[in-house]
Amino acid sequence: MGKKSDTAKAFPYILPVLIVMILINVYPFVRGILNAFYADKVFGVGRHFCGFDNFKELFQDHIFWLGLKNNVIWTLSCVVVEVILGLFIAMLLNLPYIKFRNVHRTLVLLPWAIPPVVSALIWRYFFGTSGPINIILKGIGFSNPPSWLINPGYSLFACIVANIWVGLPFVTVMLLGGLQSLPGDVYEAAEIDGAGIVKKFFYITLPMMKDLILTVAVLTSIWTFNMFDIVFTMTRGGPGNSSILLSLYAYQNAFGYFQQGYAAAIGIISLIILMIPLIFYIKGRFNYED
Amino acid sequence: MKTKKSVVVIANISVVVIIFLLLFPLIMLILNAFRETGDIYSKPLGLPDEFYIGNFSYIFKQTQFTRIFRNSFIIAIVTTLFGIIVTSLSGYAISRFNFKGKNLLLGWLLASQAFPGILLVIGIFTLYNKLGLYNSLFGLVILHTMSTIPFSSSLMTSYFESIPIELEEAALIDGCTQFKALRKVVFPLAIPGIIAVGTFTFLLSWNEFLFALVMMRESAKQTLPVFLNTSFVGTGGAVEWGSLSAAALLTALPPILIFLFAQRYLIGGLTKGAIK
Amino acid sequence: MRKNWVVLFVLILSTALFSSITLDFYCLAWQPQTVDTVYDLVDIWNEENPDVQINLIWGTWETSDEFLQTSYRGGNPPDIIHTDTDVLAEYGIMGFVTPLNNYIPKEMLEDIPSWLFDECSDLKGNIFGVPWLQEIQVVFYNKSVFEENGVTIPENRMITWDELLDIAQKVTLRDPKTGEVKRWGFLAPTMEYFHWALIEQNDGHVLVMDDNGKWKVEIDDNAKEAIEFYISLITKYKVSPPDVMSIDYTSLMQNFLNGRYAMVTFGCWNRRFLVQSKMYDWGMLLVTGKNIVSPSNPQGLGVSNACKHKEEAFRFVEFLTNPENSADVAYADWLFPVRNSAVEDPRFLSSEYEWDILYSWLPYARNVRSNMPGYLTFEWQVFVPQIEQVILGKISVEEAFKNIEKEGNKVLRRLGLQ
Repeated sequence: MGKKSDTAKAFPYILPVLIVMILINVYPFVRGILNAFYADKVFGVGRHFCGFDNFKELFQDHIFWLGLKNNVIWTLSCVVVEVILGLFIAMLLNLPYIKFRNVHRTLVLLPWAIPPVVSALIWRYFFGTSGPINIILKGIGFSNPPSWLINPGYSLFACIVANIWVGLPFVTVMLLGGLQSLPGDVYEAAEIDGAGIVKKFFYITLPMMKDLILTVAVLTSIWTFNMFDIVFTMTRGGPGNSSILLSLYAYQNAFGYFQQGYAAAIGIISLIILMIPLIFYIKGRFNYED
Repeated sequence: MKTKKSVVVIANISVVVIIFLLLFPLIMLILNAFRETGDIYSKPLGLPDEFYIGNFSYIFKQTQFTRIFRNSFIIAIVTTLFGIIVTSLSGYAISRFNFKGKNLLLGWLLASQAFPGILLVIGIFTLYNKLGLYNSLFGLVILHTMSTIPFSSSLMTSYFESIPIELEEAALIDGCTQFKALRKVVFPLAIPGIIAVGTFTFLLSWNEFLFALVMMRESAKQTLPVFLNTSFVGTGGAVEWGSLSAAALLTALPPILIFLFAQRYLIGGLTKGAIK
Repeated sequence: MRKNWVVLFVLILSTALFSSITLDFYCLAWQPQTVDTVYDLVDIWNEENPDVQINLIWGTWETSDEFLQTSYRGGNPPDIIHTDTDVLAEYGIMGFVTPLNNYIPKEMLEDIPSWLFDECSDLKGNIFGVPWLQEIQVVFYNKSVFEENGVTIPENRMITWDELLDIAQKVTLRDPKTGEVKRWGFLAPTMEYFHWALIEQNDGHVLVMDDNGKWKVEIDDNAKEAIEFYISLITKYKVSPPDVMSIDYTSLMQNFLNGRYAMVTFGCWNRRFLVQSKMYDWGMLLVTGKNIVSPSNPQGLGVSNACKHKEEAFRFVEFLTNPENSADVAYADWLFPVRNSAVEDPRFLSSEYEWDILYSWLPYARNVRSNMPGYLTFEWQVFVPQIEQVILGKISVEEAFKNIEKEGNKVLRRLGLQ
């Protein structure tokens, strides 16, 4: 198939995507990027072009660096745990001898049925000083359980737990879908050769699932990196900025602090940071296709 | 091949334990839906004293819950249909053709996942205002479709890639057009992928908050997440726990039904059969 | 289906006859009774004014910034908005809401204390909103705990800083063996602005404006003393838990209901939660310093600049804020109306739920939040995080003061205040 005819053939298939994306993705995005070069000064001279001033100030803002650090911790912990736990649960639920397998498969997805704005409220309530978690901890003998959301050592951790809970069903269902499309005869052959569970996992499951796991991991990372609603509801980045995320800080600047330009600058920096895993991912994908 | 009995027992127990831990917050939500807010405040962890249904009668009688539920349902269903059609077409094109600008499109779709919502939301609002899509269910459908495109398109591409091209080539030799080959041969084999995309899109639309908050002006046009957040959360984050739990429980029902339905199709390994 | 057509026909006909206009009213009321009252008032208005129909949009305090700012910048805001009076002033300075000076009648101006109008005005005297309701911050105390510990309180329920500390120490309960605190004496969450009440009571200043109208952060000694007192309750005297940093209202309220805190600072509307949770042995206190200040958080109504029918919109504002209606809404919301004639409603003088005690503090009501536009940005981006660092023992209070001035001035510059 020649390249030119391929382009002509592909065009009608990708047209709907092009229309939607160009209209409500490219245009607002360009506008948003330009915003970063404007200072707002809402109570003074008003919005005006300021070159790279927002970026210069950003690099001197310690909350920015703190947010960046937290954002990396947040993204890595959420994604790593979600993928490992998700794969583990998916494999368990893929075992033929699990009783009520179908019921469990449905149950594991349930956290996804609750809108994240509500989940965040539930988790804030859960992690409360005398909330259900601490009541249970006291019941099983921990006399002085921590105040999760107001102890800087735990505040980010509590948010991570909540976000893993929110994100886990998605990862699990994706991986379960992948596991089910694996050809059974390879396993049968391996079993005939006497391969055990561990061997089968490392020599068959993992290599065959590699692309899907990578896709899920990269996309979840990007998604998690920009996600702030959980932290916004649970701690608002506190106490003392201990759980501030870059994405949350950008959001607060845009809507709470009257600093849209500053927020856009934070957005651009996040985007640049996210480009690093993206480029590796895209490169890897194209090499694989060749 | 026989599996050892101990392995079977351990595996079964682990599943039950994991499921219980995962669902614990939901169990609390269900219990709280049948308790009065005042009771929940005085006893954080408790069983309902009686089967109190006041929360449910409140949300049905005193709020616009049914109407909002309908809005959310229409938006999510239409978004799902749009999402499936649009992304399976693009996924197919990406997996089968080497068209000009393919790398640009792929890169852009991936990168757009990384666009922070705050960079987009004001531009979209202005645009929608000009186009008259602001405060319309259709406008929100398009926005949600846009949000699902990058991920779903990539997912569909992966699924189509896993389907051997030989099957279509055979159909093409038999005189099918490419589109017919997609419809008759490739599409049925991609059902698990399509169901995954459909579920993902439905839930994305069903749960989405920020766009719905700023785009739907009229209270009567709001969606459930915005409604839950505006109706039961007050000053300083005070929560009307009773009503919120009841409403959240009802909100979770459609996704649960979809899970029950989507499940059956995922099982059976259509893809597995096809590759053989 | 046929019914729909009839409705449509009637609608078209009525539009043609009355050429009616529709105005959007963005309302943040959320307590069930208040929501009912507002619905009722809007229904009454719509019935009486077929030519000006009001369409209610319910918002929530936590997300109103996102909603309003996006719609203002995108060019399609609601016509009438309900929010804090100081936020109305900010929106006015940014050109989002319109000055109402030409609309406000003299009797309304005279019927509302002038400091409330100042709250929603800029320095040039533009009034950007009509004050509607006010929330009074109080200290709730657990009566039975006080009785058990022999704590007596003055008849006017006013206590000084020293008395507050003294009582808090008396009622704080520690496990004699482990030293673990079983009951904390006092809790004032940072989100309730109690530290600003202390600053105001001590004649302190943090945000100051020079003669040229430029603002800067400069913490004077009185303010330092107040902030240090607030922090010392937690760090030095240990009568107050670090829970002050929590933003989870639910757990704070639960802890008060369950006797884990003997006193808490909350808005007066929380009486509803106490009553609903069947806790009856509570009372209210007012902390006083050099000045008697009853911290008030007033709410108002504004009209958008983009509104095409400002006159009609203002008429609706007038309707909601008239003495009778504002009293009804305030009572349903467990708050006070701001109009002098509405406050005289006998419901606000009743001894039930201690309305009468709150009423006696009204003459001292003042918003303790600074009238600097962008105050909330300064508070949440700079001030509170620094105070929290001190509470957490990460930095000393002197370092915090230095950081607040340094970082605060940066933020003020970004807001265009310098």
